[in-house]
Amino acid sequence: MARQTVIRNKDAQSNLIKHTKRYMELILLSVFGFLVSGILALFQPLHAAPVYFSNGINEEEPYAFHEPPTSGRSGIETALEVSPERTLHIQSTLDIESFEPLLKEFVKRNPDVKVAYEDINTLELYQNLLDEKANSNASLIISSAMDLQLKLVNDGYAERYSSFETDKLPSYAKWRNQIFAFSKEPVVMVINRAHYPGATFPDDRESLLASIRLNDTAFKGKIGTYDIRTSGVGYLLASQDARQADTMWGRLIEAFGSHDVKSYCCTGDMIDDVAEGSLIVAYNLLGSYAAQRVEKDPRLMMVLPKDYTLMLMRTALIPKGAKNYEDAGRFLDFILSKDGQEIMSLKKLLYPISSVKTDSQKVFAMPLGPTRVIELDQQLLVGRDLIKQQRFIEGWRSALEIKKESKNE
Amino acid sequence: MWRKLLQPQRPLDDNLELQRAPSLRVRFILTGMLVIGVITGIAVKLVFDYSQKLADLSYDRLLKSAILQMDENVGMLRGDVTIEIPWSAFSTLAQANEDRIFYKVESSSKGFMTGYPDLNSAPEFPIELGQVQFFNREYAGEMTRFAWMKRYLTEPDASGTVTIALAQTRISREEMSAAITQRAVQVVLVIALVAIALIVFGSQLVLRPLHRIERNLEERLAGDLTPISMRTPKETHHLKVAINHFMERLKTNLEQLENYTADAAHQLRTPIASLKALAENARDIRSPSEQHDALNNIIHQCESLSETVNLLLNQAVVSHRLQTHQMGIVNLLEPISQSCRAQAVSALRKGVHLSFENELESALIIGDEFTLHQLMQNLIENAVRYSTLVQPDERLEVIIRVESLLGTYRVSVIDHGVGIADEDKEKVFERFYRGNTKNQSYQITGTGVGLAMVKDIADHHHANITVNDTVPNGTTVCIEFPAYLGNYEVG
Repeated sequence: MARQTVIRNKDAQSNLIKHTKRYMELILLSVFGFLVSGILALFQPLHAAPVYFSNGINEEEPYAFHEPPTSGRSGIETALEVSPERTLHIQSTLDIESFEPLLKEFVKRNPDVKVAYEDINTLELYQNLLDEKANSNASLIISSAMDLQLKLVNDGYAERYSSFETDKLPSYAKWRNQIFAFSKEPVVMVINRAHYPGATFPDDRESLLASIRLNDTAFKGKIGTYDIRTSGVGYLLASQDARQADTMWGRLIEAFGSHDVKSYCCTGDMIDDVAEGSLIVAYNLLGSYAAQRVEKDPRLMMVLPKDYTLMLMRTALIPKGAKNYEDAGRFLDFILSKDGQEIMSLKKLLYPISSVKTDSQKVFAMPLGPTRVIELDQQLLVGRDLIKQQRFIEGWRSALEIKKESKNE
Repeated sequence: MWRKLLQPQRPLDDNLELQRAPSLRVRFILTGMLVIGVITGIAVKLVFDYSQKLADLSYDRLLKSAILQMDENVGMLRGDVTIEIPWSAFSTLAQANEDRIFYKVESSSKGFMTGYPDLNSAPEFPIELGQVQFFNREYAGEMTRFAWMKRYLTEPDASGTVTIALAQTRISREEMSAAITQRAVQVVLVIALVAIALIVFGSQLVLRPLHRIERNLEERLAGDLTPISMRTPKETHHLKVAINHFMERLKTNLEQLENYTADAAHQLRTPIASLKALAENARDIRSPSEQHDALNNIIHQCESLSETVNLLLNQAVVSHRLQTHQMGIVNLLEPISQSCRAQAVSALRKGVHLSFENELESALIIGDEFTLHQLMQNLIENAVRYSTLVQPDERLEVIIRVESLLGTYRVSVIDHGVGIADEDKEKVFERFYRGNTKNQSYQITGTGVGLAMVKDIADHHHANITVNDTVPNGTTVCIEFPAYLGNYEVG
């Protein structure tokens, strides 16, 4: 591999090897990822284990969250009532920071349920579920890679679930009662105000391209985007971009390639680098993370492209044979409920799927131009077609690497 | 006798009979419901099959459109066959909201290209290159609908074939089919219910004229036998006519009976009055010998009266028998010879000689022995009675002769009495007609019912009766009975 790929995988136990036969590209990467994550695990053992949320009992897990016992109930009583089976194991691609308040609230409301939360990469998550042995724990799968989630449902890896809350969901936000969207957020760019060259900040893709053309050297090595090989959501966004505006995507990828684009696994890392100034612009970021960071960091600026803004849904599903189907359903109901959605919105964690009538609307910037919602239906399967995927990744890589090689000459 | 019929039956029996009686209306409704039920069943089955076909037809179009779009995007890339599945292909299929999609693309050169490797892509029907075929097959635990096609690669640098199998679960199809079926079944059921309601209502309507006739008859005064005059539909017209005919006959019978009773009373009144006169006379006579004669007269009158009463009684019995008794095979000779024997002595007392002329061994006819006996008795009595009216010095003889003619037996009763005038021959068989004999009529006893009864009996046996003159004087009554044409010799 010619380029260093930034991978900060938090799961040491991930097992990617068995199910990557078809993805020759990914095998290499996953071996690499496995090694890296193994090394990381050695140095950062705390990151390896899932984070536990429970009420009143101190487990040995380092990141256990303890809610104070509710009135009239002592911790010991609760401890006696808690059966070890009542652990809800969630595998998610959401950063723990975005989800923690929701988990805490859920644990507070359901004191007898312990939640184990495991933050994991989208592709790994998918592969884990295909390998039934490796994935025997998770009872709820939360991911932003809609296409992989939908493919899991299509291929029969998801359990059906239906409740009052899921029935309330609009039809575009669920499929077959097996996959449910609880958040819908824009896909954005983040730029560094100080380092951005030129008089005006870009407000769409065209103006970004114009800036790059005008300030050729300034942008060199200062553009970041997802590595579509390692990030499921990155691939989804890129393929949807290509689908929505093929020519624009071609021009963008060409421009990125000729300016030594840096590829990342995660939105957070990209924003970090933009804030530090090592990147000027990061393209195709998840709106909720970006909005959170931009809120706190005056160096950053979030751009919702005005030509069109992709809208991405975060989805949850209960895998087939889930050990704790009941609590998974309960948690799903909670995050879909009015309360759950309000917490997302008020605490500025995520864009809610249902419109929450609060003042917090102004907190999260909403797209000004036309939106292109990535539809949660069978079309997503096309993007994950074997040949299409190979060719798309091939195209992406060659666009970036050819430019690089030509530059190296 | 006829008054008894008008007495109401006990209500309990009436109710019991009503309960046991089969209901025309219930039968009608049940038959109707059965027929409608069968038709409904057939209709539902047809609708079910049709809706399945329709749903498949509709969704197969989507599937075909998708597979053709996929097929269009089969191409060559650097000498290799490849496929670029268009987004639109699956957005077409996404119209079937809940249905999962599976596919597999293979080529003769590379084998498996993309899709689901474990999808069984063997075609169900004989391969027709370039043609899409559809079939149902189970995959991934669900019944799926397959679109399948195979064609030659047409690109200049390519050879071999490419095979595409595209499968879609059947949820939307079943939903559509169920929706169609449900609506159609609703309509069919509504129609069936309406039809049943119509039958129930219609049966009421159809039977209403009958109820009207029934009420009309119920509400009549006793003895009201006038025809039903109300307007009824065509279907009940015949019933009305039949009832009217029946009532007419009943009326005639009743009238006859009334007349008969009145005439019988009249007939009895004269002898009783004369009896009374004789008795008064006898009471007032002082002379014992004259009184003795008068009493003899009274006894004679009484005998005659008793004869009349007997005759009336016999006629009642005969007419009852004629109406009720089944006829059988009878040897005609039996009642004739019996009658002759029975009458011979009393005839001789009057100085009349009876002779029975017969050469037959038997004469079989279909008839009733008792009534035939009565017939002969009457005829012989009459013949004897009228024979005595001539001059007593002549030899008095009544001949009873039985002959066999072609297909009939003729029984003749021949007397040499005063005879019957030609104008009376037609009337002798009328009830209570007493022929004006050539001399005087009221000297002989008789009720005037005897020959009428004879005529009745003869008619009942389909026998032909004629009255002729005997040469030189007297009367010959001939009755021709049709012979019984059974296994016996006809003569």
